[in-house]
Amino acid sequence: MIDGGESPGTAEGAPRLVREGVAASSGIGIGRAYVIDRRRVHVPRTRIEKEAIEAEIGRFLEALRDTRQEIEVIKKRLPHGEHRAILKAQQMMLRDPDLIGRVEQLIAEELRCAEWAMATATDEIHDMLDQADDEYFRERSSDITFLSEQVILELLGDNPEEITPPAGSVVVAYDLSPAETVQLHRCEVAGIVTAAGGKTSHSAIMARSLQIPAVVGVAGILGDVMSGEVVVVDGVRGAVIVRPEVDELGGHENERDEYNAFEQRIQREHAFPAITIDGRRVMTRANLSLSEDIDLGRRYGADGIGLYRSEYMFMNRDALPTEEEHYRTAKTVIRRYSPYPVVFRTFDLGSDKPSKLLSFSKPEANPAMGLRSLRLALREREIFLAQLRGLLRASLHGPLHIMLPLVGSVEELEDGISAVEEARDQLEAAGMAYASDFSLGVMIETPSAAVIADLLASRVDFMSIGTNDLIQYALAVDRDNDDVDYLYQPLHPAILRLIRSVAAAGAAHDVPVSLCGEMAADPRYTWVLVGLGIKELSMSPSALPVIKHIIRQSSAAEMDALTAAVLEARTAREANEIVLEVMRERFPEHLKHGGGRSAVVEEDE
Amino acid sequence: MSTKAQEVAGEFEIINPLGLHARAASKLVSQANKYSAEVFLAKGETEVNAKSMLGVLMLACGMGTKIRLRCVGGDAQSCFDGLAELVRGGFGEI
Repeated sequence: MIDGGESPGTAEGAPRLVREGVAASSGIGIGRAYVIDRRRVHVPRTRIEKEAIEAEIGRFLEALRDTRQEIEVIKKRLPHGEHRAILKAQQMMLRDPDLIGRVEQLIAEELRCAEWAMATATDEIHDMLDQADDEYFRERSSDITFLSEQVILELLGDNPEEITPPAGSVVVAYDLSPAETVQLHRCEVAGIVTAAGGKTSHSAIMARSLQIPAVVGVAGILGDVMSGEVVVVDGVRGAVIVRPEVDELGGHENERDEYNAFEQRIQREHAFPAITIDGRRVMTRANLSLSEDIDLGRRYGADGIGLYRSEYMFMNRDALPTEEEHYRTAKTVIRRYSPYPVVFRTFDLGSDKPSKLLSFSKPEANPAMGLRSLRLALREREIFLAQLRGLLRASLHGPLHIMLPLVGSVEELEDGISAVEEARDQLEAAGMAYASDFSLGVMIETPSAAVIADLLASRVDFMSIGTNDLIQYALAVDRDNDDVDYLYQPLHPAILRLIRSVAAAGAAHDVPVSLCGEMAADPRYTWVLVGLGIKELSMSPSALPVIKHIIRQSSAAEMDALTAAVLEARTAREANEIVLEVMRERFPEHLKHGGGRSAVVEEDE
Repeated sequence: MSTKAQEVAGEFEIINPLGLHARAASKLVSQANKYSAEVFLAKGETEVNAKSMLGVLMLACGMGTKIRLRCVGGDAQSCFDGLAELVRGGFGEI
C-alpha cells in the first residue's frame, strides 16, 4: 500500500511517464522511488611520495580484505543456491593475484594513489571482458566495475553506506551489484528498476531467485524519476510507470494483489497432471535450449521436454560440436527427465539464425525460404551425422526422440530418415552402443507438410506442429515486420484447418501429434488446440502452470464444443471473438496474468 | 631439500554446457590455488594465470573450447592431474 500522506502521484507538475525495459523478474511492485545515483564514484588522482609506497599498498590490501569480509557477511545470510555462487565468485575476484599484482605495480612504479591504481587496473580488465563475443562474459565486466567501486569507497573511508531503502519502496539505480540486490531483499523492497543490465546480468538473476519484481535495461530512467515519486514496476510486461495518475493507482494495486494471489494458486498445483475433469489427459512439456537452466522444465511441472533446440550447440563457439559433445549434452538432458521423453530437434540453423561455423556462400534474399534447417543439415551431411550419432548413443540413458525440422515432402523426410539410418550403421560399424527403440518424428511447419501429414505419418513415430513457422508460411506473413504483423493470426481459418487435419492424420495412423509453437503457451488457445485433437502441448517452462491449470479446470466436452463453433468462423476476427468471449468469461485471470506476451496481446485488443 | 621444477602440459576441451562461467571458473581457480605450482591456461594465443579468476573469465571459454593447461613447479604433476580431472568431469555439471 502507498501511504496516503503527502502528494502521492504527480510531483511538481512532471507528467506521467511509461518506460519500457526487459522484464527480468516477474511480478508487480508499487511504491515510492528510492533513487540510488552513484554511477561515478569520484576517484582521486594523486601521486604519492616514494616513501609512502609500502603504506599505500598496505592500505589497498586492507581495503580488499574489508570488502571481501563485507561480502562474506551478506553471503552468510543467504540460503545455498545460485546467488551464493555469484557472491563467491566476486570474493575470488578480490583475491585475484593478477589484479593485486597490477595495482601494486601501478602504485610502486607510477606512484599512483591506491584508488587511482585500482580504477585503472579494473578499467583494463573491463575493456578485455567487453571484447568477448559471448553475452555472458561481457556481462561480467559489470561485476568487476562494482567491485572496483566498492573497494574505492572503502579506501576513501566513505563506508559504502549500506543501502537501506524503506520497506515497500521501489529502488531505481543505474545498476545493482549482487550484494546490493540481496540487501534490498532484506529491506523488503517492492520492486527494482535499473538503467543497465539484461536478462543474464547478475542482478537480474538475483532478483528472480529472490522473487523481487524487476525491470532492467531501462535506459535513462535515472533522469526520469526522483526519490519519493510513485513508481509502478511491471515485471510481467517489462514496463515502468513513473508518476501514475492518482486514479489509476487503485487499478495497479488490484492487479498486483490479483497477480500475487493467482501466482500462488497456480504454482501450488503445477505438479498435478493436466487432465480435464472428464478425464482427457494432455501431456504438457517444456521447450528448452542449451542456454537455459536444465531444471526449468522440472521446476514448472513439465512431462518431459517437447522441444530441445539443439542449434544452440553451434552458437558462440569456435569449433563444431563433436559427436561426443552431442552425446554428453543429450545424455544429461535425457537422464534429468527420464522416464519422460526428451524431443531433440536436429539443428535448425539458417542464414537468419547464423552460426559462424556454417558459412553461407552468398547472402540470401529470402532466408526464411532459403538454405536452412533440414535442408542445410542434408547438405552438411558430416556435421548432421555427428549430431545424429551423438543423439543415438544417448538413447541408452532414457527415452530419446529425434525430430526433423522443416520437412516439406516425403522425399525430404526419407532423406532425413536415411541419414539417421546411416548414423546408426556407422555406430554399428564402430561397435558403439545405442538403444534400438528410439523414436523418430517430423516437425510440421510448412503448409505442404501439414497438407500431406497423412503421407508423412506412415513413416514416423510422432509429429509435432511448429506453429510459429507454420503460420508464417501459410499466411505469408513475417511477424517481425511491423507493417504486416497484424496479419499474423493464429486463429485464421486456414491455420485451424491445417492443425485439425494434421491431428486427424495422426489419429488415423496412431501417431501422437504435439504442438510446440508459441500458441501452446497462450491461455486463449488452450481449449481450441485440445479440441482440435492435440494431445501434447510444449511451451516455454514458465507458461506450464497456467496452461495446466486451465486444462484441469475444464471438460473435454466444452473444449470440443468451443472448437466446433470456432471451426464455423469465416474469418480470424470472428474466430477470435468466439474464443475470447468464452475464455474471458471462464479464465479472466489466466488470460490477464498468463505470461508476458499474451497478456500484452490481450490488452491491445 | 630441492625439488627440480618440472613442467606438465596438456590439451583439453571444455565439455560442460555452460563453459567456464563464474561457477566453473571458481572451481578451477580454487583447485589451482591448492598447489604451489604455477598454473597457466591458454586459449589460442592467449595464456592467462589459472590462479586468477579474472584471467580465467577473460578467456571467455564456452563449451567446445580447446584449452591448454600448463603446470610448472614442484607439485606440477599432481596439480595437473587434479585439474585435468575437474575439466574432464565437466566441473561436476554434467
